[in-house]
Amino acid sequence: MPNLHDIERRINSVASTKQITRTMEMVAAAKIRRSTERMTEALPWACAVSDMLVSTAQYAPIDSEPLLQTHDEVKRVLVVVLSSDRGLAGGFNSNVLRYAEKIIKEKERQGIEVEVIACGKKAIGYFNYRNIVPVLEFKDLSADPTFEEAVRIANYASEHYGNGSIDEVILVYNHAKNAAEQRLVEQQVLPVGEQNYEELLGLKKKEEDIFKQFREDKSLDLPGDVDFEPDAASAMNCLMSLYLRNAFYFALLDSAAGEQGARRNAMKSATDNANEMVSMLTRVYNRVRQGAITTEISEIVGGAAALEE
Amino acid sequence: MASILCTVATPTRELFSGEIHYASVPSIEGSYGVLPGHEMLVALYTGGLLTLQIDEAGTDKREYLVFNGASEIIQDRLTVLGRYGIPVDEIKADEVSARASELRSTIADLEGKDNAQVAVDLEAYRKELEWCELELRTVGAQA
Repeated sequence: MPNLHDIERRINSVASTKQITRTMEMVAAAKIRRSTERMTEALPWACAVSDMLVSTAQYAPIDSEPLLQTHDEVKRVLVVVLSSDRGLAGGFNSNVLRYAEKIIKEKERQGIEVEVIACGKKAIGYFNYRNIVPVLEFKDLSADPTFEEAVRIANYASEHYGNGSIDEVILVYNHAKNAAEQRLVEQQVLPVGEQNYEELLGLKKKEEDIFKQFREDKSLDLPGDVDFEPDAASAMNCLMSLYLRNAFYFALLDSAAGEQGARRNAMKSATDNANEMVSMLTRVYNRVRQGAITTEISEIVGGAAALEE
Repeated sequence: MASILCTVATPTRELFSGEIHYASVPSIEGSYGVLPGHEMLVALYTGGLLTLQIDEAGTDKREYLVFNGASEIIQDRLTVLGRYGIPVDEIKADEVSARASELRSTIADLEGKDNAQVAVDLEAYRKELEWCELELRTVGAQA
């Protein structure tokens, strides 16, 4: 049976852990707000790139744009994995890393070579431990992703896809469905899927226009010809690279929001568990204390009775 | 007089959004002026000064330095996107100069190394250095 001092020390220890987890929960909640703000700040740019692509695609030679071509044979795939730099976020990292490893093994079984870009210390550690050396590594940016990071990933992907050394680019990350829920997403960034391709370039009406609420109602049908400077092909090439950067940037922002959501959930559970443990330990403490008092009283009563006799 | 709806944005910040009466927009082959009713145009640019005239008389002017992007004018709606961009009066020459020196030494350290990570880093640092130098040239400081 533990003594009162031991239980008291345990209660104090659990209470201080609870304070830490509670603080981490609040910090994560604040960071979710920051992630949302960052996404809002990036939206005008994203809407504009999308609009420009739609108006340019009608005039540009789409067939010669390297980023819109599908390679005949898939020999080498680039897998971009977005994880976090820190743990204590429940299954956030393990879900995405296990899934990415599954994709890599599946591709290798099909005889396809795989290159990995690892974002976040957890992904870097995970792949290096398994002797999968990432071609690019990004750390200390998972909670506050920068556009620079997206540019570097996009430049690598577009350069190697353009020169034919990579035939497919797959992005694996956690999508922040809402503040409490994350969904694992596998997105084929390149080649642009036929459905996305038609929607992206405005050749087909989007089933769901994600920018609808942010843009003013205007027709995409243009009343005349659009001029290009220097030419339509260069404009298309530039806009496609902007699109690619956007795709990676939004995934990074989404993953950062998801990380904070997952951490808040994990810390909330830890705080709840600590609360439960403190109340259980307090009950044990009171029971032991009551037992000690009862024993003491019995001893006094026993002693007094002995004296009377 | 008719006006133009204008948006100036970088990936992380909307620099301007509102109605204007005239704009001078940088492009690869110089700069072009935009008045209401301008023909539809998509133009690329490497960097330069974007001037927006907010009122008709031209007394309220805003100047932005933009770098590496595209502009589009479609149906009296002007959009200017830049990889980097900043209102000219917000450029802090000391900070930019310090950043430029830092970038130069980082680039010097990385040059000669040969791997994919270094290649993408070098490309990004060089672009940022170009941007810093453009900022310094614009405010008249020595790069």
